[in-house]
Amino acid sequence: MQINLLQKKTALNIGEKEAVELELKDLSFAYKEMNVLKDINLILNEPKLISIIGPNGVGKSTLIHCINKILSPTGGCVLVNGIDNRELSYKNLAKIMGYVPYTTVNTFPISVTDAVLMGRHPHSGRNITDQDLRIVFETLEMLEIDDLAERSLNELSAGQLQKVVLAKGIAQQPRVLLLDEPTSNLDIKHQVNVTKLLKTVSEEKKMMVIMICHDLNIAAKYSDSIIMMHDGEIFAVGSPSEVITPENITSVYGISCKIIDDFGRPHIILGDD
Amino acid sequence: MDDEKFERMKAEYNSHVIRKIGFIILCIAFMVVMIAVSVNIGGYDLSFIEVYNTIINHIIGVVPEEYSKEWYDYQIVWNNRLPRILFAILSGVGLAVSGATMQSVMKNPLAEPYTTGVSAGACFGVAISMVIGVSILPSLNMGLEAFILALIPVCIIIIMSPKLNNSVATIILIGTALTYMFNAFSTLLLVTTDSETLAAIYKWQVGSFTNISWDRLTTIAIFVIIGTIVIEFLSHKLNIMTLGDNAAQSLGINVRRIRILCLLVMALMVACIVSYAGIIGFVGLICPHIIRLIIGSDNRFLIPAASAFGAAFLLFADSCAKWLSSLDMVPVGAICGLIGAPLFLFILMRNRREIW
Amino acid sequence: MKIDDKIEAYKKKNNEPKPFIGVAILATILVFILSLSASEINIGFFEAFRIIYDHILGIEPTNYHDMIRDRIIVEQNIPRALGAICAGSVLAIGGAVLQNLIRNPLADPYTLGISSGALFGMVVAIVLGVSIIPFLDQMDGRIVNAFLFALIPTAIIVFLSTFKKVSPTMMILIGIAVMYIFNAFNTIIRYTTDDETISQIYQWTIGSVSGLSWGSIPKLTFALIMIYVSMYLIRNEIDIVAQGDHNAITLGINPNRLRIIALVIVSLATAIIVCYTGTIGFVGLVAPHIARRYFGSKCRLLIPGSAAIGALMVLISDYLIRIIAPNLPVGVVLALVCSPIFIVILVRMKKNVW
Repeated sequence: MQINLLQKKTALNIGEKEAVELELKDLSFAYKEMNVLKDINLILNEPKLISIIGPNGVGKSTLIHCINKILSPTGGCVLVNGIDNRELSYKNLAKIMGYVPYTTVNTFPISVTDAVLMGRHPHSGRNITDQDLRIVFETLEMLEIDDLAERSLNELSAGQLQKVVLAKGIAQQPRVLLLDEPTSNLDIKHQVNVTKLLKTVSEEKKMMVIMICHDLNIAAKYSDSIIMMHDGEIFAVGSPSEVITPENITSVYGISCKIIDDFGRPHIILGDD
Repeated sequence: MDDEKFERMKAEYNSHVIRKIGFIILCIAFMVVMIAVSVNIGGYDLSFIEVYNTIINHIIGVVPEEYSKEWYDYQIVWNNRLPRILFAILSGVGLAVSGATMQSVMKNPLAEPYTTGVSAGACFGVAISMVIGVSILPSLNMGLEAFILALIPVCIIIIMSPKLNNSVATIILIGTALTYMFNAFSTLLLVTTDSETLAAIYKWQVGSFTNISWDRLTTIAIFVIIGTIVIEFLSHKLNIMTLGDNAAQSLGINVRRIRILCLLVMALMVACIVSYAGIIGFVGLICPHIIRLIIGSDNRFLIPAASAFGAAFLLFADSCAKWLSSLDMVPVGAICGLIGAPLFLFILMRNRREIW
Repeated sequence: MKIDDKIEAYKKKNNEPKPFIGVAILATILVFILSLSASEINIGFFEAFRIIYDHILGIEPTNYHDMIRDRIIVEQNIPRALGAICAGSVLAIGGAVLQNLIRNPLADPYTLGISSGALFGMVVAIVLGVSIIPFLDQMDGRIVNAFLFALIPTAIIVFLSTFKKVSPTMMILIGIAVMYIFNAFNTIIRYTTDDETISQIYQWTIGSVSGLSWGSIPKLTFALIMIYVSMYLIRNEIDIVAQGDHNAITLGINPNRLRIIALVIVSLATAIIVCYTGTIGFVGLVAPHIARRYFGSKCRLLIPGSAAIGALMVLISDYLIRIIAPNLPVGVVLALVCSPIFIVILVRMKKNVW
């Protein structure tokens, strides 16, 4: 995580309903001698629900961290509406890009409301308005955790905590929302509900939602497009039916399966070996 | 996994292990060299050959005539320099190992052996013995009182620990509060005495290895060596405890018990060192970090590396102190800071891995 | 509950002053008033007020009796109490901010090496007779020296951070390393100088507010205002960084830059305090923890809360010293009185704050 003290500031003016274009150009990242990402080229410019799938360790989190400047690429660049994200200050980037991490650092306990309210910081700074509070409470309602509003973070279960972090990202109202396994700790009902919610949010608020997902069937059922990664590279990109094929699954995951059609969406049935 | 890949990964794992063991061996080698060098440094001018003759004669069993030159040489080398060297080595081992363990157990990089109040307790013990008891020469009594009182803060912590709902941060804070409290007690006592006693207490406090003899050395050696071995046996479990209390418990580790055991062992080691050597800072706090920067945080290697590096470092510092001034004008703690801090900063700047 | 109601409820809860802060501030004022009359000579409580009233009105004390009391109260007690409030508050705020930003309960302003540097500066001025700015007279020269040297550890931290990413813990460890270097110098010099110079120097290091005169109050107040206002302004950012560096980045804050800025301001304020009062330990470490227990971790309440508790701790200790044993350093009473209280608070804490 390399953070320079002096940041060049470029303003990024994006209107409410304008689309953001993310372009990854020859993006590479290596930890010391180990290459994690190799020459990734990708353009995403429509507000829709995009799932990134792939085996563990293939570089999915690293990809997301390069997009939101937690990591600095060792090769290539990430362009946001044509501007290299290294030229953008953290503050300007935070106004249009949100992030829901996989784990949170457990330090000071604060209330759920305060935690989600932090998501409004890029927009409001220290002037929290009624509008901000409204957004926070509406988001809590949307995720069905409004009864936890005054609870302290260290009293919550893993699933509840995950929803709080998700709420913070949504309350930030970014144009692009990056999520790292947002449903891994949730039970099946909530996995489905949250994924459906993300899809609704992406449609209604014209947000580009990019999420790392491990459940292939849920990803297939709800995503508008899927990015399949393998060995640090993009193996396949496209609609779910294009990407999720038995051959692709076998090549990338090494398991055999059968694909059946479920109202136009692929559904995977695991094979035996 | 196919054999070739397995061999490759095993080789890579081994290369890391070899690097760590190499570091340990390097430290030990340096320490041995320093022993040889340090035996020759001291107020009394002895040539290289005379020193070695004395040692060899003693080992062979030749007893020099009383009050002859050889006899004086023997007194100096064997009863003066050698104990001091061994004391420095043992203290280095004890303090560095306790520091590394304290940081692992407390999960706090700012923790050090004195965090639980051992130094403040010992200081209070010394103050009591000097102000109220025998005052002029350091006697065995002073060591014993320092030792007992050094253990009191730790006992308080251990007694309180069931009520502390498992938070290490609370233990650290209580230890710090006890440190301040006992220091305040000492200050209260010191205000009532004359400047001579004050000077004597300050001399003890600043830290030096001169206050040693072979029998005391034996006691210290027993505590330090056994303590280090115990902690080394626990190091595997300490590794797992860094995953978090819940995770460790689910792997069958009684977190609370191990924590208390470690605190006790560390307290015993450090208390006996401090009773005779005074309060030498730096080694317990910064040396473990230097080692971590070089070989990483695996406790199984950290403990032996801490022993080796601590011993070498403290011996080197003490030798420098001896060399600079035979009258003890330069305290060993100061040399530790002067040599070690720049070393730490240097290694930090050149380091590429991120620890804490 | 409808959303509008919830918004109202949240705002009300946030904006109502917590009762404890009121209590703390009230207590501070009370002890302040009490301490005005405390001294070796027996000055009655109301008599103290009469003397102050007269003094404000410009009425000269007519007899010897009144003159002494006037001198004690106005020249001694009041600046002493004000100094205690400033020192306690600055140290406590510094501790709170550092603990939140470094995310470590052991952080306090002195772990940045400030007191060792200040001592060294003082030593250089006294022993070598050299001060960095040559035109000042002796007393001022020493204090300026102490101030400048006190900032060296922080300067080194900032300098190294610009070259290499340093984690928050490493920042503090660098400060501690520099502290050890200065300590080494100080110890060696202590061994090689004569006793009188030593006692001069060490008189100064023992933390105490008793030597404070009106001349130092403006500077101490400046330090307090500087640290309070600046930290309060960035309270939201501190809260966000306290939740994690990744959290901060994705919300638009550069955590390292924030840490450095906070570090510099805390160092400046603490250095000012140390140069006038010596090293008053314990407050910077413990007051924030007590404050967290009662006011929570959000800086909006934590900063004023720590300030109030820190001020109270030093004020009470100084008051006790003046009544009981005027020769003791304030740190001793602080530790003796407040350690047990702190331990009791820690043990009785049900919710974990760390």
